[in-house]
Amino acid sequence: MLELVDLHAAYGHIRALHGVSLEVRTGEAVAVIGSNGAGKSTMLRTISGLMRARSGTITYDGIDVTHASTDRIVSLGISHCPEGRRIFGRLSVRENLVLGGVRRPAKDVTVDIRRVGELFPRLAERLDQPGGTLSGGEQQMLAVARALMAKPRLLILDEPSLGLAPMLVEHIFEVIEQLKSEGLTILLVEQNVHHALDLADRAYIMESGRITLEGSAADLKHDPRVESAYLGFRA
Amino acid sequence: MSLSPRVRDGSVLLTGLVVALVALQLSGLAFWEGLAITLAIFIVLTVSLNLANGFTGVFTLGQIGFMALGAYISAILTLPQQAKSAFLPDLPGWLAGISLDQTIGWLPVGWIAATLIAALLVSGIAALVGAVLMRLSGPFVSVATLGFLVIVRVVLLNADTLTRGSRAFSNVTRYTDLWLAFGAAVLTVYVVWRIKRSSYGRAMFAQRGDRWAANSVGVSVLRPRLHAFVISAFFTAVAGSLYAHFLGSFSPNAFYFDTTFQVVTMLVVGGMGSVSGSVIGATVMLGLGEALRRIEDPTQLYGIGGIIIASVLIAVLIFRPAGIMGQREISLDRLFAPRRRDRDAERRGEG
Amino acid sequence: MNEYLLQQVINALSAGSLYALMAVGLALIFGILRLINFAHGDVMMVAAYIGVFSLASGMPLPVAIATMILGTIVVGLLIERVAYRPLRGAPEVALLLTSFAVGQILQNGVLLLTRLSGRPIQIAFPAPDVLSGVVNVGTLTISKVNLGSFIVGVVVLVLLTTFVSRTRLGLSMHAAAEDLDAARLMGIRINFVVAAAFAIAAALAAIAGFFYAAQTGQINPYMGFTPVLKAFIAAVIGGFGSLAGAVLGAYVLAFLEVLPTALFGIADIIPAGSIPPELHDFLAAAFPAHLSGYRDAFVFVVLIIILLFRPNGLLGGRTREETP
Repeated sequence: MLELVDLHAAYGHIRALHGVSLEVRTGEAVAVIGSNGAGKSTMLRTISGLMRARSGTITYDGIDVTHASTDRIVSLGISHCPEGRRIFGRLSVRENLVLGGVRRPAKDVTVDIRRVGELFPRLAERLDQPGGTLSGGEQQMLAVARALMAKPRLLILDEPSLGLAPMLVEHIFEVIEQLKSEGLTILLVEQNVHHALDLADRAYIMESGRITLEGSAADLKHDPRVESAYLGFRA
Repeated sequence: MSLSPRVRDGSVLLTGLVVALVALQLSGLAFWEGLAITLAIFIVLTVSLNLANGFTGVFTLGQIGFMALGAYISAILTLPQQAKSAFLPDLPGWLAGISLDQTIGWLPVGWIAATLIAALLVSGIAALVGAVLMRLSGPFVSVATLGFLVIVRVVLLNADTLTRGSRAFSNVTRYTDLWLAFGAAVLTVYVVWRIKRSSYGRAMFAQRGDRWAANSVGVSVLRPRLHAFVISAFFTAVAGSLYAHFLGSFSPNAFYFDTTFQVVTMLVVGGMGSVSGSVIGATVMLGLGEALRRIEDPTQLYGIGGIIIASVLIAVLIFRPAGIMGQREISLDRLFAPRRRDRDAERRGEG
Repeated sequence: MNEYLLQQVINALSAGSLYALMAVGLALIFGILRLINFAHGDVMMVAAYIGVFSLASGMPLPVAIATMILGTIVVGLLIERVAYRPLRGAPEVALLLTSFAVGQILQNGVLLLTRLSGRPIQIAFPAPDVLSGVVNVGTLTISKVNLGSFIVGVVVLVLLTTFVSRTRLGLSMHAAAEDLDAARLMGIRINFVVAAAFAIAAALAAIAGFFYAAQTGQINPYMGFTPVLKAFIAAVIGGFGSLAGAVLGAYVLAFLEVLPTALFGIADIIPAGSIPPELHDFLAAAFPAHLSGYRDAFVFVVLIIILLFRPNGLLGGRTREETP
């Protein structure tokens, strides 16, 4: 469904991506793992059109979207839940959700708000509260819910567990698992390697703007390199 | 004996300038002399504004207020006795008695004293204003300092016992000539250039790039900004005095937004952060302005000059925001250096 | 004495409405683009000129007003497309300077066109009949222009607030103002939202321009400078970035402005004998009449004080980064 070929990107003179290639097949969940500064978020921003690729291609369903504008990418069915949640704190939960579905017909949006409320009951209780008053975990849920409002076929999640207490992390991944079982294709960027590899079908390891390792999630879980770098030393 | 390139460059430029000025004065072409003096005044203004803005990256818009104060204060001080009693009848006693119109031969020492006094007073005001306003950031400094410009204007218009309000302040002795004007210009350029090259100047540039980073490394942000602001005000006031004693007659309208816009355009076109850029920018834009006036007058298309100049500013901001010189300085070496290819060829022993 | 104060209140309300219309336009654009659109005052000026020329050419009033609003919207959209969009993402200073340059172009353009059409620089604004004259309410005499300014201003502002909070476009503007990248990720077409903001701001400026011209009775190419500065002060007072704040700040500013005019010289207004002579002398000394000309300076001093101590304005808008 999504294919990156030899993608290069930079911030001014600072090169961030050095020829990244990966693919996400329809229906699967792919994880990209790496530490801070590895370039994961840069890659996602380039996919969504927030950043411009210097060279390389991004193809979605066969369509070249390398330099497509963000609004085109969203209308094609890609929804990006950004790092740090980035919800609209001054707007209410409901308004955040409405904005998530802003490109879709108005009547569909009302239906979807209800559906999303079933998926995230805590949000349903707080529909009219300003987003800024929600707790960290609730805000993360709102961010994911908002991304879902666009009815995407590919959901991109940038570090959904960042800064969340362990119990909330469990909850978030349960939700993502459920979405996956409903057939949603997922591209997940995470530092929390355990959960990411449990959820994903395949995974990539990213370091300093390059893909250094790839394979099925099961294989990578037992790969000694992954273990030592990201899962702590074995006893 | 070999001089450092910079001293050599400076001497060459200075000699060139002196020669040009002598030629100009001997030619007796009053129009060109006047234009040259105007250029010198704008050079002082632009270089000063560069110090206050271009170095620090903070954009103040109130400089011309200091120019106005410099003009009025110096003019009040140098006004000859009869003119004072005739035009400023209600001046407070101590002020009415002063008239700094003494000259020693050709040198108008009275005017120099008046200018210095005015510039120092204005610097004091700038220190107060700056202490207050330099804390602000981004576009808020710009608007607050614009507010200062308006405040100065309102004060000038209302304090008519001192300033004659909206009426023209005239009968000012026209002391300004080529030498005084360019003397001030050269002095300003030199001082600002030295500041730029000092560690002090480097601190200013540092905090221009990234306030947070500079602050975290211990580079004080407020002080360099404030010092730049005050020094800039000093020279701007000098420019005001030059202006007042060049025209002999002026009113608060000369020191408002149009002049501000003129100087800002010169600064941006020349390159914020480059002293030679300011000189170049002033020359280019003044020349352009004059040329446009030649078009406006015969065709009666008043306004077209303003449109073109403003468009130039927008074009520069869009396509070449660094201006002509960016932050670099002119070096004669690079101007007159043999082309790279030839030099390389020489080195390889060919040609 | 009471009448005098009430008269001042009415003046303040009327001026406040105009400031509000302009300030909201500034806040709309600043919220999304971080651009202080100094050309906004000149956009208002252009609107006034379109209005004058439309009326002079014999158009009936409603048509002239429609022309004015539409024409100004076109100007606003053009400016955005040609001058500001290429600078999207540029440092704030560049945007600010560009807005000055745009203002200069508008001023000189109008100057040029006026000259070419053979008219003088200052043109009388023929107040339309419905707005000339006065209305008598009790013992008060209110000019119809002032009344109209206030009523229309309030109505327009209410309509605008409804629009912004209820429609998806309005919501998109809020989102874009709060977090531009996140708004992009929603699939919001930023170019469209920005253009809409400019169009709305222009329309508001046109309405303000109409009443401003009607109040002052004449127009000139430089009439936009002070209003935009005042509008900026209003927006700052209310907390830049919030529309409600802009409106509040506008009325606060209007009342602040009236204060010096009301106070300075108050000793002369109060009928002798109604207050003890010592108080009268004190008022005359503390608030001498000739200082009322310093009104504009007073207003700017207030601006600077607010910027220093309450940079988030009275309503405390978004927190901006602290100055180190």
